[in-house]
Amino acid sequence: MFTRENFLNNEIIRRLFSIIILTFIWGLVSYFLDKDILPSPITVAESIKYHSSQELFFHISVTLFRVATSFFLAMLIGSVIGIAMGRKKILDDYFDGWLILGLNIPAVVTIILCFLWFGLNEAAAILAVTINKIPTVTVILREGTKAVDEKLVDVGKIYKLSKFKIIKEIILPQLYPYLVSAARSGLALIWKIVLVVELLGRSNGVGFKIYEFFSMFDIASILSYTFVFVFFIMAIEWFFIKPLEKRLTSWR
Amino acid sequence: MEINKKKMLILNINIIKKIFPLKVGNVEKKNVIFKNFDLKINTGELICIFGPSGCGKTTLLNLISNLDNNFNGLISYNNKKITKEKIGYLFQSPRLFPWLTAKENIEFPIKQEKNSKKISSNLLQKIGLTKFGNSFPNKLSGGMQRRIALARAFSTQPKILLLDEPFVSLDNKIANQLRKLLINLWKQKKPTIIFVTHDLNEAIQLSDRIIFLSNLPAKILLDYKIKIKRPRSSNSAKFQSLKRLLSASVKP
Repeated sequence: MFTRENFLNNEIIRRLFSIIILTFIWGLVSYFLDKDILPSPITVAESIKYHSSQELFFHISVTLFRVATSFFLAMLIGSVIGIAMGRKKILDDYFDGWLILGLNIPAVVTIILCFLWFGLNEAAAILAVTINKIPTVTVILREGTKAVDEKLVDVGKIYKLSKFKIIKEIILPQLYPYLVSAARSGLALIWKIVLVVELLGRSNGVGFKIYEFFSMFDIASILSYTFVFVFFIMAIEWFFIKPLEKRLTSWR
Repeated sequence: MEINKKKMLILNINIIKKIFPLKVGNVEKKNVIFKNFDLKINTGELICIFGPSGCGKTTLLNLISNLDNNFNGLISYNNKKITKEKIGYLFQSPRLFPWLTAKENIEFPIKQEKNSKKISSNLLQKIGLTKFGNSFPNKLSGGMQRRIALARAFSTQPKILLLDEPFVSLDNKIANQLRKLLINLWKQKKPTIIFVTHDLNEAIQLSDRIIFLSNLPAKILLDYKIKIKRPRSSNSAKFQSLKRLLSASVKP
């Protein structure tokens, strides 16, 4: 028995409903516009079906591999630097300036420089993305490390834990929320940068294909590649980051 | 006789000078906390350090535990520098690790030992929290958290146990239960206990010996052995008259 009120009371139904409204508006607008400028949802759906039978999943897997590699590299390197800067004031004093510089260099500049210096190859591409992400991870982890409760660290000192053990067993658990937040913002940033990297200097991947469709003015294909890829990224958030966050912060 | 006496003198605290830099506005002031301070504590003794707030009681515990090693002097146990000795420390706040369960918190200092699980369940039973072993600290009351912290402090079977006003800000009934629990746990292996408090009732109730400290720089005003048998009721005539005597002789 659904009355209108309790039908919209369910959160999931509300969210689903909002997607339907958006699709409807899109369809309506495309109806009045030239269909080459904004293809209708049905055209895009057909285009997705067509590209799936072609190379769509190959290019998506190539891009996802680049996203994953540079994501883990940036998380690892950024966390180590961030924790070190958070623990040691002297390092913070020396490298804070570098960090601000790193945060403010436009992604395109790093990408172009990497390609110019190291050639149009896979390593240069991944390096460019990683370098773009490291400063943000470092900043988040540095702030997290500064917020670490020293009183709990003292407990470790009382029991004569080594420095390594104190980091692993007392500091790291306090940093989990910061790591999750860095991972989340990292994923969102990295996949966008990867597309630019592919557009500028690779001959495969979603970014490369989008550039190809751009030169052919093929908007339906651009949209279909985008939707499928965004769907994958959202799936990573739902099935990977959210459950991880739940596990790491279950004590809250 | 001389040799015998030497064997009895176990914890030897000798602080020639301990300074605490204090910034008042732009002026650096050097606060002398201890100057030529001498205290010898027998093994297995439960002593209370009693004094006004800010008289260096916590600093004394931090020096003994080596959390603070910036001082002139020597603290030795059994004629050896104290730094390697097993020490337990119960802080003013419970300082439990919020991401570990009650049981895991108790096991934290003894994780490497084979029988850690047995020790922790045994302690949980003694503190009457077997049912709550798998609860996270934020689900437990303040009194329960302190019981867990007490169990953790005893888990390593320390030779020396330091307690820094651990039962402050609890209601009287719970604080009394915890004091009884402390005495019971102490009686099993008889570690040397140094208990800091500014509650004279608590000091008389618990200790073999009370050390009364003066204002800064801290000196020993009175070193008093208590001979009333345990358990001591604060309502008894003996208790009350001792309390009157002590407060009269220490007050300026």
